[in-house]
Amino acid sequence: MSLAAAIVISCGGKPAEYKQTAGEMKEGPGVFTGEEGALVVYDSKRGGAFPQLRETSEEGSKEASEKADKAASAAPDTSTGSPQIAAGQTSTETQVTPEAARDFQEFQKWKKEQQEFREFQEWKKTAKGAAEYKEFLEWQEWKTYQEWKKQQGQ
Amino acid sequence: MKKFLQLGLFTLTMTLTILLILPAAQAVDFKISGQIDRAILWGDNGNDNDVKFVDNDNSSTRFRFTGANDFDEVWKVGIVWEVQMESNSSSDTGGGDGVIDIGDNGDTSGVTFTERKMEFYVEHKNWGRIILGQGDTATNGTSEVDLSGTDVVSYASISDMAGGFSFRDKNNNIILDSNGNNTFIANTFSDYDGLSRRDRIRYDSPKFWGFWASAGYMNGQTYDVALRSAHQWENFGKLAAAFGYVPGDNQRDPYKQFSGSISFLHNSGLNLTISHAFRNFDGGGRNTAHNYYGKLGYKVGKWAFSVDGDRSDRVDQNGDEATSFSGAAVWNVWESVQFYGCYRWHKLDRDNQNPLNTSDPENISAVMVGGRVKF
Repeated sequence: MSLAAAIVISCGGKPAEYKQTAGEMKEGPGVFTGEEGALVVYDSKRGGAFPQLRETSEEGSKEASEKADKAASAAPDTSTGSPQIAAGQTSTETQVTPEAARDFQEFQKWKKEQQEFREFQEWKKTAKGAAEYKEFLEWQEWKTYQEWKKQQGQ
Repeated sequence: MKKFLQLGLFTLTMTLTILLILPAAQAVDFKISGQIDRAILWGDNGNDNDVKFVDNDNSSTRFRFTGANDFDEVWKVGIVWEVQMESNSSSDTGGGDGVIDIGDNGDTSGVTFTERKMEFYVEHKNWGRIILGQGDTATNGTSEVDLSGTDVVSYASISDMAGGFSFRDKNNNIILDSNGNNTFIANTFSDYDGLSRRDRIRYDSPKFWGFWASAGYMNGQTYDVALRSAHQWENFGKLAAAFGYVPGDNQRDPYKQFSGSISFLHNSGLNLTISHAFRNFDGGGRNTAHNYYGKLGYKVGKWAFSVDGDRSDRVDQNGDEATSFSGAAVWNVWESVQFYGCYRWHKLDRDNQNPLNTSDPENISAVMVGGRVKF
């Protein structure tokens, strides 16, 4: 054993990862669970329960909204509220209405806010952010006070 | 020694208690995963042949729950709960009566729902990991290091593939051992892979230059130790090795046992695996039993191929020499799905024949074709 160890070290081998595979469960992705290889019931780093389902649905929404955005931008005049067919568009692309485009904009805004909120949560968790967090709370308090003051003035 | 261990257990309990009431979790996760591994197994015992539909015991059907909780960026507490659920396990001997043997026409009655792991661990980034519960003993896996990519159907544990087939004499009588028990493939081959899985406490050290050590203590005042390593060379290949020792000689394990295996995977895909283990029995008139195993393989694209040979001496009784050769192929058709096939030949030379048998054991051939799907 010592001899084997000496040989390995003297040959300049770099430490490598090794996980027992014989007799063990297959490593890697799963048929239903994708790259993760497991159904993630809860992961606090990824926003709580069933993050895979949420991420999949977000991806789906993103695809749909990208399509809607593309269609909305291709339709130059939406003020009349009537669906218009832009040059080069196919009939399937014309299914996107101005309402859908508005919904998409709202969705984008919501998603951005959600992302910001997640970033804020992550930042809040770090020990480094403790002083800044205190400052943030003070700023929030000040902002609430400003709003109250504004309401009083009206 | 006993007092030292009791003190160790008390310290561990205290540590865990403190950990549980210490700071709030920084990250928590909980996951469920599993696999189905089913196969068609054909066998010929020299008198008769048969086709069986089995659960491949090389890597049985199972599912597991895992969860972990990070604390203070250096501590981690986790759980592993893994159970196997087999119907017609390919190595099931039916308690010695045979249940999927060649000539048996039924299935096993119900599924076998057996424990694998039920444990929790406490891990420190720099100090290593302590595991408490049912799970791998420190030495489990030390005979079975294998980088070939064909271990789903062929590896050092020969009896996993067709262990439920019995050896027969030329008149189709089951070969009996000196105690009058039926002799199956599972009885005559063993890679003496440490102490398998048990209820125990285990410590795994952190990795030092690619080496790490483990030690475990379990019921029956028995313990085991192991050393593992994994190294790679950028333009050459990867080497993994493990060595285990069971001092034994107690009421539960009346023997001393050594097990070790090394596997090398060259960047070209060529690979070589060697395993050796022996068990030195403490009395009972038993001579030391040995197992020697070697495998040559080749990995290319989604495929892995291998040929192997094994020799198990005196596993079931003194004077036994069991030999096996195989050829295997595994097709990793998708990342989550693999199909495999293996031909394996088994031979048993028995010096001390039971007088009820009329001739030497006939050879057994077996072919397994199946698939493993992770879900």
